[in-house]
Amino acid sequence: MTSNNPVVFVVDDDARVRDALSSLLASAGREVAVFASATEFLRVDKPDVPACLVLDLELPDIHGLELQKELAERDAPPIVFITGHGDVPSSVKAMKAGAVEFLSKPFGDEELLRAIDAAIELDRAARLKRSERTELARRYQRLTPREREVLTFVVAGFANKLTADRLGTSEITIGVHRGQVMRKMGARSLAELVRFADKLGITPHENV
Amino acid sequence: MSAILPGSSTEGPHPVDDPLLGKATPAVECDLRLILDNVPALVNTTTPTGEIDFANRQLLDYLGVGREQLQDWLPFIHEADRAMVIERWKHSIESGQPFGADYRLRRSDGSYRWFHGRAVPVLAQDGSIVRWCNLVTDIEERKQAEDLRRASERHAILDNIPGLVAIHKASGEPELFNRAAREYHGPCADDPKQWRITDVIHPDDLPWLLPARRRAVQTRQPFDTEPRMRRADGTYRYFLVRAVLVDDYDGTSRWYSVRTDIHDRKMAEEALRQSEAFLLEVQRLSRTGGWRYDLATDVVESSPEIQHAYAVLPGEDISRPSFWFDRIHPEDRPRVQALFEQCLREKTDYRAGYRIVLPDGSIRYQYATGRPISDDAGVLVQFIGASMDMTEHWLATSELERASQAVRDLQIKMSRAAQIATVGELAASIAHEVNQPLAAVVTNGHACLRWLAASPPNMAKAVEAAERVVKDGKDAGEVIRRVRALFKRTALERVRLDANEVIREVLRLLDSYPARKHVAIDTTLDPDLTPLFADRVQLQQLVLNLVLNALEAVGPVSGRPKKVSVRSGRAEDDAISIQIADNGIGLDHPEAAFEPFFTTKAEGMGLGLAICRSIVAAHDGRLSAERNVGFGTTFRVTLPIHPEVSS
Repeated sequence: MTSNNPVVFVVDDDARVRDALSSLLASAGREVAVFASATEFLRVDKPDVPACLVLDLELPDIHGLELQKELAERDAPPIVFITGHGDVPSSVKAMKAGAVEFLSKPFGDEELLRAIDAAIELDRAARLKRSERTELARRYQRLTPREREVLTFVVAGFANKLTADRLGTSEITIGVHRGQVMRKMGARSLAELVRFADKLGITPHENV
Repeated sequence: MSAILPGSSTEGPHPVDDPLLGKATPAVECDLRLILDNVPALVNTTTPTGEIDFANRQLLDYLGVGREQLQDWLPFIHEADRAMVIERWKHSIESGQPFGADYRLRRSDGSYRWFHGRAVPVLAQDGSIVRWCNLVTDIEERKQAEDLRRASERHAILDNIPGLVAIHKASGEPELFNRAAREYHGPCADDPKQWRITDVIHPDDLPWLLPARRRAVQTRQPFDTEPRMRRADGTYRYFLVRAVLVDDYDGTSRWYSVRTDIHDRKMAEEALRQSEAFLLEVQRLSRTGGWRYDLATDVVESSPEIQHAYAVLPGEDISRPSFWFDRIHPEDRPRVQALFEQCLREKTDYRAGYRIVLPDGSIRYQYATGRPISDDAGVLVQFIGASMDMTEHWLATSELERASQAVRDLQIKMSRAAQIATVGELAASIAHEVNQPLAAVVTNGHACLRWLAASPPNMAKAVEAAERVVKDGKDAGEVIRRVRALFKRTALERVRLDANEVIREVLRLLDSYPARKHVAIDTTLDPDLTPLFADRVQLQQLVLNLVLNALEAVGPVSGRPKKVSVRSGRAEDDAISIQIADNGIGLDHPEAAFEPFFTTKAEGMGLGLAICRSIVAAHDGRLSAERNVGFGTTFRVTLPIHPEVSS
């Protein structure tokens, strides 16, 4: 768990299932961390790596669906449910709430590993998106209010001259601002800057 | 006035016999007039009846009129002084006494100056008055100096008054604050011209104070209020403000206002009011009233709460002890009365609980306590006490007893319900118990294969996994063994019991069961049923499962009343029977229902009836099912009264 490898969290109150899953996932080369209850899982600090949660539906402390609801409000890893009952309504609920897979015990190893890999991929993409957005937001913070204003014109496709007219300043000044914006945002091209702005949810200036 | 000072000298003065001037001649008169015109004083003369017959030049110049126009004096004398001047003139003319008065006279430019008028009669030989000589001297400066002195005297006096005094003009604008007022209000009272009422009166008092003040100024009626006024430190204190409009020394009207600090008194009153309100509220909350009995006067005083509790009617004389005793329930009255009299005699504390009957016939419960109060000489003078309405408390107590009885009943039911878990729940639990180790077996098996397939194979891990397969497999076997044991007839605990009682217990248990709603359960139990020798819990499980089955069977029924009937009776010579019938959907092959895993339900393992049959078999009885003629199914249990006792 010290490396940057993805990790699989297993929450099941049955020690036999925990041990078996732990061994199976280790045999398939996955990092595993097991927990006997939802409370235990919530209490422990998680490593900052892509992850997936294999969650027993019937936990003694918090019902799996409840925990799923609670985790949905945080940036928690995607969930693969496992259950001994496997009733249809619960599985529908779980899948609707964003579960990756809903497996009835006993299940095959390939089934489980496929679901885990899919979940980790999802988490990796979500984490990337989050970190990219965080970085962009950090860069955006460094812009001056004027530069942010100029940015909305640039991404709307305004020429420097037109922007200067609208903002009541000179074309040269706008050119300088524009250069600063590109530099601070780390954009190598206008197309890249437009993409950054879109990711940050910046509305381009009304092209009127 | 015109009668006294008509001022009609239009024809000019005419010579008269005059003791002073003698027989005047026109020439002498002319000289005299010349002299008088040049005297640096205002001079006039009048006839004995007071009509002006001469006015000197100085006077005419001052008034700004011609000699001919000096007809009516009235307008020239200040309005405020007029009445006084008329009065004195009248007196002088009637009595012949000299006239003297200070009054204001209007100058040609419209301003007034103070003058001292002095008139002496000119007498003839025979002592009769022939004319009046009037010298009018300007005393304005002297008067001003005097006013100033009086004003400063007034200031000095006002400043020494140990209270707040203010003087306002008749129109309400302040003119003066004494030292105490200036010290109280601080800088805002230093200059009366800068003073604003809004600076000193509490904002909450302004809405009523301002109109009242306006009204007082308009009607000139005394002003009496209790506003809060701002002190120099910014705090507000209550004052009693009294102002009256008085005619001042200089003839102008002024409001003299005295402000007395009543803050502490007001606060004490407010605190008292609040504490009284608090006590009343407490009495209301605790339903406790106070009373006091004065022995000398034989009078009872009572608080509003006790009057409320005793439902006093208008017109009832509650000052007599008899009123209070008469309200007591006739059965309690002699006891309470005797006790109270004993307490009076022995000067001991009084405590009594009793019922009272209100005029509307309702009964309330009271608990009264009292204490004798003696004077210094040890003579009992009064009894004070409190009386608490205990009705709600009494009712609540019995309510509580009833509630706790219900809780106890419920607890008994619950423990029994836990004991008789339904077979459906049992089956689900068994499935889970078996499934967990089974899942572990499969997963460990996969893990084992993977450890073996790794290159190089991880034998240690593979062995661990295989060992876990064995252990988990044994676990699953253990669960199965326990389940089997559950249905073995080994654990029977036979006791003598009444099958009817078992049926009633089960039906009571189902009282609050949701499926029980809208189903009419018809119970016909044979009262002479012979007791059985059977396992109580298993018999309960049997009846419970059969009734639950019946309830489930009538669940989907529509278009006819849902009915379940439970009967008990003697079957053969040595057996009893329990029949549970429903008018539900019915079974096509009733006997097949007893096969394990036979089920008509989407959920459920189909174990229920199989278990029922095993329970009956354990008791050497029979369980059969048959289709009814109309709708539904009847299950019949037959149990021998004297089973073959076998281990």
